Amino acid sequence: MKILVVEDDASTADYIARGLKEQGHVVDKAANGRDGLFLAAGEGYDLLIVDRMLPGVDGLKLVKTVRGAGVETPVLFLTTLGGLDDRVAGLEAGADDYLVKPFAFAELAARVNALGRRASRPVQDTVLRVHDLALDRLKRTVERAGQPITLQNQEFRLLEYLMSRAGEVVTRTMLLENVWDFHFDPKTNIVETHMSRLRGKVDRGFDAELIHTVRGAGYVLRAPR
Amino acid sequence: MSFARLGEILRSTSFRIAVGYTVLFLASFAALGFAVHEIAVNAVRREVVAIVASEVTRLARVHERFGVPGLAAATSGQAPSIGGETIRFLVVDGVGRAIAGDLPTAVLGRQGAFLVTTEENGEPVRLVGAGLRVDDGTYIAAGQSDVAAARTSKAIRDAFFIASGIAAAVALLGGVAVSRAALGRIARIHATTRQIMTGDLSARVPLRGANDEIDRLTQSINGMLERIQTLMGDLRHVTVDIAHDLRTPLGRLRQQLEEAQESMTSAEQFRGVNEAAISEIDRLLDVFAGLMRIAEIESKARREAFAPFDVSALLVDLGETYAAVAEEAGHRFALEVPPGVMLTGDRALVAQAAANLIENALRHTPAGTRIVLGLQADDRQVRFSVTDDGPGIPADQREDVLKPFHRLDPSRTASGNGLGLALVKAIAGLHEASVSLSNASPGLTVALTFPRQILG
Repeated sequence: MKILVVEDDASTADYIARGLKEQGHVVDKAANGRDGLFLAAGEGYDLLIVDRMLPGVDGLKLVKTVRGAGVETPVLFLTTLGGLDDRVAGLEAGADDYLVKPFAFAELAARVNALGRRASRPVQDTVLRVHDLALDRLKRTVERAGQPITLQNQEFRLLEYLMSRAGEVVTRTMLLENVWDFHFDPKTNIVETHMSRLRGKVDRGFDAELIHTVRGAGYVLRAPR
Repeated sequence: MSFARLGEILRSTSFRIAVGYTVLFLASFAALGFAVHEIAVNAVRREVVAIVASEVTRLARVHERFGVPGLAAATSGQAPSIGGETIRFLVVDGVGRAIAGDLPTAVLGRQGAFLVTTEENGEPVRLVGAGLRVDDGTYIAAGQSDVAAARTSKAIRDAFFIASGIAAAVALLGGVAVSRAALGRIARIHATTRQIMTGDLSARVPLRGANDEIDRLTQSINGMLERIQTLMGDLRHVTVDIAHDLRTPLGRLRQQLEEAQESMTSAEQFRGVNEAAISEIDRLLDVFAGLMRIAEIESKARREAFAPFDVSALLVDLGETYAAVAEEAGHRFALEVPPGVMLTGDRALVAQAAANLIENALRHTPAGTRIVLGLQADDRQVRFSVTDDGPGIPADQREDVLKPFHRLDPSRTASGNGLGLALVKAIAGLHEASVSLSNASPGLTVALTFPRQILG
């Protein structure tokens, strides 16, 4: 992917750029809002990573301007620690996802991949299928190898999220935000507990495991190779 | 009393008010005095005129019967007097010859009552009296010097000046006294504020116990000082706690890195140290995130996110989330939530507050504890509660646990950033809700009570 990083802190920008390059992306950097706006409007990027606080044109304004000009490039918004309103404001301005600084690189990488694949993701299939697992969004039923599986509401939402991103690493924070709508860090192991229950229902007793833990990053649901 | 002090009194508001009232009082006193003076002096003159007029009438009758010679006889000899002042006469015949009497001729020709100012022996004199011209042209007048009226006038003026002088002196002295008293009380307020400025926050303004306006002002000043002292105390406490909370993990971090530097032999070892360091730093960042979130909520910048939402649905969802966690931890979990209860507020923050309370119950009670998530609603309020039958919190410590970094375990080794309940309190504050901790005998009930309608 061709990615533009608009970040005024040189050390953070280098950290993001280096990591993304190692993952095989092409990365450009802009140190202020004006340069960022110029590059974002002109070059054909696949993803913009925009910091909230920028000299010149601030991040929020940049995203609004870019969207106003009809550029549909996905935007990942970087907000500061504790910035409660930044999340809402960023999403309202047209950002597609947000990440609170400081973050682990694995978190950023997972989000970058998710946003990159979004373009190729099939538009809201009624039935999601991975290997021999099928989830019907309308009937709200799940079956594996023809056997029905009964899931609770949250387990269903969790599986739906994993299956719609099959093959992609999803982090604990992404799950908390998108499945539970928790925009804070809970002090109990909610994700782990529910994930282990889901695995118990979806994977236990079947020959191939579909849900995998990715150490230091999160989880992935994928068909066996 | 020093001159500086006197100057201060003369500049004081109460003294100025006293001076103003004195001037106003003297002006009205002067108007009153003038009226009294005029009435009294005229009364005295009218009395004199009445007497002398009857003398003139008597002389006219004498003239009628005995002619001019009779008049000469009647006016000679012992003259009557009024108030010690002799009545003087003047009789002039038709051709202008003075027949009798020593009243100055300046009054000649005046008919009826008169008041004439003339000169006698080179000195000014005022005469009051009455005159009459009879049929044959003879002029008869009686009168006397106006001393009776002058005496009355002087008496009244003297009385006025003495009374005014005394009144003014009393008013001004009273003003000084009142000013001194007020300045004394204001000086005590000054002294207290200066004491506070130098750092003694425990100083209070003494009350006089009169429950007057200055006492009421004093009470509100003292109330304000009380609040400031509490807030400063809290702030100091929090500052110390933040320092403590950051020093401990930072110290640990430094120690780990130092040990790693000295005895690092393998990449595996390096990875372990690195991971420990990162999780240590994450804990520090978590404390900061908590503090900043509380500060942001307390600044009340998020009212715009208020909207009505189904609090029952939110709690049922949270119940599903935490029932699994509770079960893993060996707790029993129950939900007592009626459907369809609506609340106006920030859904994300209310969810966080509820999650915090549930997590507190899960983390601070032993396995086997029963935790009940409850919701009660009536016309006026919505009450959300988390009740456990665990060990509870002693009554005297229930208030303290709402403060940042307060932990019942003083060694601070328990997990968590110590900000959970402080955050709940901040969220409650934003919603004008109250947080209450009560005995569930056994165990603890933590409840959030929201008013139904939040104004503004």
